[in-house]
Amino acid sequence: MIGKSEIIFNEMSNIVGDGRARNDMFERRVYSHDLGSFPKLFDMMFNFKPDCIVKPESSDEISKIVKFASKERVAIIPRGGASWGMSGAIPIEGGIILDMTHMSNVLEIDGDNLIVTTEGGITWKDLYEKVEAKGYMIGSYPSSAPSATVAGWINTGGIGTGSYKYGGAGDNIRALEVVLPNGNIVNTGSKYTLQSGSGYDLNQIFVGAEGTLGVITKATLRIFPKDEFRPLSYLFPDLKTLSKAVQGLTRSDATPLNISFADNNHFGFLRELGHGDAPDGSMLNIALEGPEELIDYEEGVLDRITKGAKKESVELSMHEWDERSYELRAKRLGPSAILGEAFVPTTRMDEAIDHIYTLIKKMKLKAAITGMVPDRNSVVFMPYYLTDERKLIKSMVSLGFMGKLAGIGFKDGGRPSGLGLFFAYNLKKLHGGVAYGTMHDLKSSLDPCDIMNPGKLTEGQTRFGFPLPGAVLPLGMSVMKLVKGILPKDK
Amino acid sequence: MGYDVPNIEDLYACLSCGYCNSVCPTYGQVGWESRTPRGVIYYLKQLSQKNVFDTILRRGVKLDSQSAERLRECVFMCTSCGMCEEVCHVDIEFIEFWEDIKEWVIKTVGKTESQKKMYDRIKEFKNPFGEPAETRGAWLPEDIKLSETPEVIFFGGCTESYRMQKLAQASVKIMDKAGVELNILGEKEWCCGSPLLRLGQGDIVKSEFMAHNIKMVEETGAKTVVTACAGCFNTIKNDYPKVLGKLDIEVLHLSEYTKRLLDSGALKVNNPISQKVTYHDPCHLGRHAKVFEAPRDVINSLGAELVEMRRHGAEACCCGSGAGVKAAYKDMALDIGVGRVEEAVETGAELIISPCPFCVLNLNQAAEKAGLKIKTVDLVQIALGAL
Repeated sequence: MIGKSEIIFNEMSNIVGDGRARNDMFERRVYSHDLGSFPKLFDMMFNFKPDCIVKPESSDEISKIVKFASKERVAIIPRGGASWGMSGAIPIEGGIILDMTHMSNVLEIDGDNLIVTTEGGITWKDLYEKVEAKGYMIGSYPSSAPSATVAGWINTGGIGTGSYKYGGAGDNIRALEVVLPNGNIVNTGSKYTLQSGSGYDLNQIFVGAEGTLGVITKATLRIFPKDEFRPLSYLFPDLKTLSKAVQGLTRSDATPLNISFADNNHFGFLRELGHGDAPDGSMLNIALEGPEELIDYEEGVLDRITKGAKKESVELSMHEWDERSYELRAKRLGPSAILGEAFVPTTRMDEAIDHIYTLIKKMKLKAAITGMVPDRNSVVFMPYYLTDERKLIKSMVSLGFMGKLAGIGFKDGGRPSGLGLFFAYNLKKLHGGVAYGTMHDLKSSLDPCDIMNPGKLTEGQTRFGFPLPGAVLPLGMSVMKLVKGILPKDK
Repeated sequence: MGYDVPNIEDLYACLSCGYCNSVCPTYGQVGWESRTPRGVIYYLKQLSQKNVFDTILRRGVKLDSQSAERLRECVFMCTSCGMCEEVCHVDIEFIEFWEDIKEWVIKTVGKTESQKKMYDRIKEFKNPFGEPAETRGAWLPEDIKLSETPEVIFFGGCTESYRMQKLAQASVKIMDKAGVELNILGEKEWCCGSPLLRLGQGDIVKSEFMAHNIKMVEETGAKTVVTACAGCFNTIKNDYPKVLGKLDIEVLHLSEYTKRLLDSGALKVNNPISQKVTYHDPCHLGRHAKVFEAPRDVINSLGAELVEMRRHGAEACCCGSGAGVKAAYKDMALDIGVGRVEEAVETGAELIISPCPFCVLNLNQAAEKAGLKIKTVDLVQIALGAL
């Protein structure tokens, strides 16, 4: 009997032609993961392996694929660089993965109107370089720019390098082209002008949608004239003293391109890895951008605010800037690493630092805190903890850390960040019951057959169709935290 | 139980960030996750961790014939260019990593027919072409005086000795002009071993070839080995000491040696060239052996105007022919080469210079395939004309 995978594969081959669909076990396996790694036990709850992988080259092809999927009730999972760690691009019950990285052409760089129109599968690094070659720059991009795609980052609603000055993934969008779950192709915005006036802002409903509402195929983004640039690094004795400077900085009239930080533990890990020159302290990295007079002025402001900290050399500051996509070098020490993310108000940065360090201590973790300041009001902490996925209990506990971190976010007046598969249960808590219901209605109305990246965001769901029990998972995580507390300290 | 895959710590250290994907020249052609460093690592990790759960869950991470064939294909499509090492988030030393993996794949899955042939020919004839040893030194021009007490041994290498003799001839003519006391090993020279090391079949290289070549050099009393082949150079300089320990002889690429001769005044530029040229870093010379400046200094000394390609130095793109890929996947090697030649054309250069016979051959064939006029010449050819 011909199997599901084979049927889908044949249909896909008909649509895209030979050579752009595969369904052999080797391929299906290597497309069944992203940056995160699960305890193997999770394979019981989910079927992470796609039935088929397709490399579409046009919106029309995707439309045909989606129509087929809708008719046959097959899941569609759009996938960019798969550089997120929250399972956003992983099937939970098989289906069709759309490998979007082949739709990577820049269609137009319009310097007069300061916009770029590109296919969604290009990496941010490639897009940046192409725009830069014409004398312009992209305002903000994810720290994983070497592999993260334009559509991927928009779908995570992320913040990243440049966010302090130019906002997050959703803030520079003029228009998107999206293939909807019914196969229609929608243009969401206005290419040359800002989105305002009457009508729902369709651009924004796809920001942070985690691919659950459609497949983003093209984006028109704002670009900016390229100006002078200067990275600066200041070394503080610890994260709490650094925090004072951050709070001062966000209340000053300086508007750096980017503000990020890493704590003493992070640099300790780098030294452990053999980077003997890694500093001893907590580092505040700031990138200034603009006309030279402005940069000089802002550097003066920063020097005053960071008084008492050690101002690092031009070379080291440039090195820190060059390392902006390499926050997890220390992973090798684990050799596994678990990442968490929590947003807190800038005003409560100190409390959050205390709470995270307390959690690390209680759970006896080998962990470090990195983070960034995406705007004047918010700080995002991105702590990571080193572990060994080969040790079952240790690795199960990892989810406990992430769950507890989300809790810290809420406690300190903030929130967790990306939800993906395992934290989908937080969506309700994050936005409130009515907002959650509204989102659910939106999803149901756009995707009544639930084919578009099912199981994510509005309903953490297992392969058997019943939802990931929101109340049970955090409870399980508490138990894990308890277990970890009894275990010996991580070396 | 899981498969006994080597480099297990690296498999677990991999972050799956995918930075290696976009820089991998083979992935650029193939376009499937299976042909990325990240994809292969993930698969190998799955193989290594097969355990009791797999039986219960019927996950079936077993290497059936279809998967085994795909694994071998994906691993041997790698040109060993080392760009993945350059961008790796967690500092995996990929150049060595892939050699170990290739060796393991051959042990576990077996050799292809052509890999087996290559091995047998090198084992029997000491070169990959199956040519007789007696003619190995036949390229030597008659007017070159060889020294009985040489300071330098010129190591021709298989490709220049049997297929691209003009490069070997130009090399010794340059040294002869500078009055270098020089000799060659002739029929006593064996393949450096690079083709087998890069293809995971290095056993006889490590047990015989390395020691033989070094012994032959030492017997001449020379203290320096010079080669114009980037592959031979990297192998003798960097792979031999891993097995033999620190060498008592100095190993130089001809570009380095030419620079030395120019700096000391032993060589003079008599007919400077006035062309606008670009330089293609061979992977073996650049990323692997970290020789970036010497060939550029020589080009500048020759009077040429050097313009750099977008990707150069440590980030230079592979020509496409490394690690047996040209023999096994000819079209793909050429397509990678086409991309590189197009990048060279963008610079406005009239000529591509590269000090590696494999790069020269592949880039010229790629230009022909794409209908591009630009030629690639070996550094020794252009240097000889100017000196």
